Amino acid sequence: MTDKSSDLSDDIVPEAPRHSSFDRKFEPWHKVRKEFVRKEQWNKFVIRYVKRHLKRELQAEGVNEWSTDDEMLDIPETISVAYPLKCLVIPGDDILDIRSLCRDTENIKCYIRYLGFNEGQGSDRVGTRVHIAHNEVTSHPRVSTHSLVLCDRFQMVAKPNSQAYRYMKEFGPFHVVNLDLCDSLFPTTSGDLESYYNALYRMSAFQMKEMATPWLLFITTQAAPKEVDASQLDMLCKPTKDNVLISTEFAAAISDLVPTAALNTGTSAPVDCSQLNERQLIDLFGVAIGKALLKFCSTATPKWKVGMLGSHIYSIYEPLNVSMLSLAFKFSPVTAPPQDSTGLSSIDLPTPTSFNESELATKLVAAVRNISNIDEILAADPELKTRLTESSADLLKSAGYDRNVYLQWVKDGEQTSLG
Amino acid sequence: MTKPKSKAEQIRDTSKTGKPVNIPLRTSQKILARITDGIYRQPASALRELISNAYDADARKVTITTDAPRFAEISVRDDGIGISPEMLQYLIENIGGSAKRTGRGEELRITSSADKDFSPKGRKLIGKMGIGLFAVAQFTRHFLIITKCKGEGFRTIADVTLGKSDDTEQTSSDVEITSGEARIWIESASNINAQGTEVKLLDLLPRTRAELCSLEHWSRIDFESEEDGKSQAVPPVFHIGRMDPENADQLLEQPKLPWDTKDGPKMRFEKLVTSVRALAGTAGGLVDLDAVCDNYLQTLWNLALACPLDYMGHHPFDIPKDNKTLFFDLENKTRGQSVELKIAKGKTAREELDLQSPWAPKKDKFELLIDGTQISRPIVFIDQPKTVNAIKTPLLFVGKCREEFDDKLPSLSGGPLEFEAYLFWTPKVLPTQHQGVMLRVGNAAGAIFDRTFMGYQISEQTRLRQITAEIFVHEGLDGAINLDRETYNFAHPHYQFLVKWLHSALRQLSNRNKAIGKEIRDKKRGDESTKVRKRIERVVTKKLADVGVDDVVEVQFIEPTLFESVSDIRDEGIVAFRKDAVFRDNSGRKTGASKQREEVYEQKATALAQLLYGWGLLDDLSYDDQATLVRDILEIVLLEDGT
Ligand SMILES: Nc1ncnc2c1ncn2[C@@H]1O[C@H](COP(=O)(O)OP(=O)(O)O)[C@@H](O)[C@H]1O
Ligand SMILES: [Mg+2]
Repeated sequence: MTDKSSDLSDDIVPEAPRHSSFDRKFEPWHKVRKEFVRKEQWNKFVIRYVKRHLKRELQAEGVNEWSTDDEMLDIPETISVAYPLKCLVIPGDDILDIRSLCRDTENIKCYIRYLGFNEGQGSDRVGTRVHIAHNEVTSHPRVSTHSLVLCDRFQMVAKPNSQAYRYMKEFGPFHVVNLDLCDSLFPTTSGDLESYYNALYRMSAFQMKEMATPWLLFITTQAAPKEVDASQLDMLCKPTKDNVLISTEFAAAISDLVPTAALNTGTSAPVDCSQLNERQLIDLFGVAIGKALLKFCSTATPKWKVGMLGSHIYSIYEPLNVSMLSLAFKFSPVTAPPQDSTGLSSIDLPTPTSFNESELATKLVAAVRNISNIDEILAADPELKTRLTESSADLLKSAGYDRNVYLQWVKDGEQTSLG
Repeated sequence: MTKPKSKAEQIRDTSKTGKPVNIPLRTSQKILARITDGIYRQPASALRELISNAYDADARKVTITTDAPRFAEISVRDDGIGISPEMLQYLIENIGGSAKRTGRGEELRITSSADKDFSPKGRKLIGKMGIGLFAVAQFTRHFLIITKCKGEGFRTIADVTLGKSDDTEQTSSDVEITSGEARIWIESASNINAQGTEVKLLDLLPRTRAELCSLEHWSRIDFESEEDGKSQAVPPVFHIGRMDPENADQLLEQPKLPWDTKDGPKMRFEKLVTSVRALAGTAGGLVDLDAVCDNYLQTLWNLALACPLDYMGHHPFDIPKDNKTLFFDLENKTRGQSVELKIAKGKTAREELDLQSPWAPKKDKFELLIDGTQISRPIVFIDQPKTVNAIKTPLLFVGKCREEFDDKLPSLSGGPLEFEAYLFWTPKVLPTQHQGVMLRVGNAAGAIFDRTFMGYQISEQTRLRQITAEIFVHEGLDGAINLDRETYNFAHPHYQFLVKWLHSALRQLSNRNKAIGKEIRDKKRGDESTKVRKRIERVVTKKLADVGVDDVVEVQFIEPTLFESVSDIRDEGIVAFRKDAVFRDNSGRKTGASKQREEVYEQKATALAQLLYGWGLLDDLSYDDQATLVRDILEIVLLEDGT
């Protein structure tokens, strides 16, 4: 008989392999509103980013060694291959984000290299799906085969000795960081704010250290105001509350969004959630997370600034009022060329970028006020909805889903196990 | 009645049926035993087989991706012609029976229509046994093949598990047994033009993971430091890092690599090779790859040697003519003599002798990237390190040969044999793993250099350690390769022929090397005077010649007060020692007699050092240790003298 405490047989006999199958069912992120996020938010901003920054960077950098001759051959515009758009993503099992990015960047021919985190990898059913999806996505002539989906949780990035951090270093720094979280950065009693926040902090620090040009950050998170964890929200709001005290402009702006009294600024009392309705809680969270990022920026050297780009909210489970919040941010380095004050030089160097934290924070509040509701947009614009339904169907078809079954599912009200 | 559908047709239908097709892996017990129980020595061997398959499939680029240092998964991906459902069915049902080089190969369109020994694009095929793919059994019992052919709207996926099913009876070795199963289906592909094959190895076996992450070495360090607080074993100079055994998410040791994350793929490997070679400067002068690189980096290195890749710098036949290398043409005779090859300005040995290797199709390209590092053959022919050897320039011996075995029966001779070769002599071969001869058939090779030079019996240990040689076989020898592709059937006439040719070439090299050395020494000797010195010198020369060494190093003892350091002088190729490191304190007043005695001591010490060097005994020691050893021996010699 085997001695139960013996570990001698460990690591000798392999685990029995688990088999894969290829049935696919529809999940919340297959809904048409997610296609809106992909197309109208992520990809739109990425395209704008590539046109504005990447191409310019390129001309300065010249050819990069990552491109092999083959890749040059495959793509007419060698210039894009020479400098891949580097993305950090949490791509899900079908890698829909990169698929759609690839589709939408057809015109600008940008070449993509990505590092993904998906803990579901491995030899199980989900793992096989990811492998096949990764193979398919990287067969696209504009996606680098040097891309990788790592079998780790993104949260592990928080630890500098983690495998996740090692690979972030190896593949980074990134032009685009797209954190499409399945759970929540919004502070809830059952949530995981702390580990995500730590990872966000570590990642931002890495990016600010390594990047010399602007970069984009997308955060998609659940927001369940009914379950808010007041004390965590209060901690997250600290930079916001401090800002209210020092800037009347900011204080005025935020009072438009939430009743200022609820913030309890200047006292030791925490944010009073009972005074806030659900939308206000979500808005406050939006400001707080943006302001926290801005604080990272203003305390770093060299300095950075961050602004919120067009962001959205949509419901995923109406009865419980759980929403998804898709936030977009752009980070830019604060630059200042040397200035001549003798008047001897007639050279016109660009003027330094201005940096005023309160002003930026005020803009942030305005951006949060502009967060739009995708459900309302789609309801008001049937033509847009049809267009997005079609493109979502095409996207899913490329990931092996049945197009017609999908269209029927949309028609039937997009029912998922999660509601 | 309709004909029942073939498995391949069923595979094509899976997009409609939604049900994968199951094909049992059937093979003979004998072959199964060979592939699962390790005919392959190292992880590099199994990877080499997959890379060879990509080469045979006309791939231009192979990308290997691991999750180092965790090593749970490895993906080997190529952009070759892909595997059709028909071919997939064939290869699974015919393990151990390759379709390459047969009529089936042409029918399945995996070989050239003109010559079945060549790929469609005209590469000389490496595979022929039909078991290479299953060498992955070395890594795992579970892998995926994801493959796509150009022009098809689908990719085919095979989910393969290896292992005997439990209900199979143990039977005699030639009976077919079920040794696993492949579940195969297709999925639609959006990029019709894409082509290629990915073999994704899942759930790597603990043994393989341990090997890849150098577990044994790290464990030894752990164990020794637990025992005595410090460890004899040290971490390799370069390594890929180490996972925390207690925590699957974290690294216990961060990677220590000679390159920077910002370096491009080519630069990375170049930095590895340069850094490894540069380590020779510090210790005794040689570099043992095994001691300076972990298993992961050694795997990269070994693949770089074995796979059909370009040389990092020049192909040996394309070394530019300069005054740093002397070229010789080898004669194809048992007692042959090399001829110095006068290469015209702007020409190369290739042009002078019309050398063809590697016989690749025009403009062919084959690249291998492993975790973002593009590897190439790390054999370097220029910029050799400075050494103490009298001959300061490397010698390159080049030869080519075609033997028809005209008067012999082809069934007995194995048909014609044709090859080209070089033997590169340099005082220091870096790393030591490059000492020996490597056989390449077509453009591929087994993993390692044969340090015995195919059983060369003549004791010329020092000189043999100074030679890197490669034989590029263009025609023949195929029949002599064993299943593991690393060893040969020694009895095969082609192998026998190569042995004779190589041993003759070694003799030609040796003679030439001796002659050049003598010339240099004679010149030097003319300048020296004292009788004793001459006598001792003669003795040393003779003693070393007796054991086959004819290169006597120059030795100098320098005053400790001298500004020039030992290593400065060593850099000029002279073995230098500080006087105070070898001789007892001699700072007192010097009488005439003591001065003379000192000179004798110095000559004896010189002789000792020359002998020790000649035997290669000092190569692995640091300068300090070398001095200590000479000092200690000298002391004992002088004791007997009654001094
Ligand atoms: N990477 C690949 N691309 C295309 N075909 C492949 C690849 N790997 C394997 N094959 C097919 O599988 C067959 C079996 O491979 P293998 O077991 O290595 O045997 P061999 O190479 O000796 O034929 C090959 O003959 C080839 O047709
Ligand atoms: Mg093969």
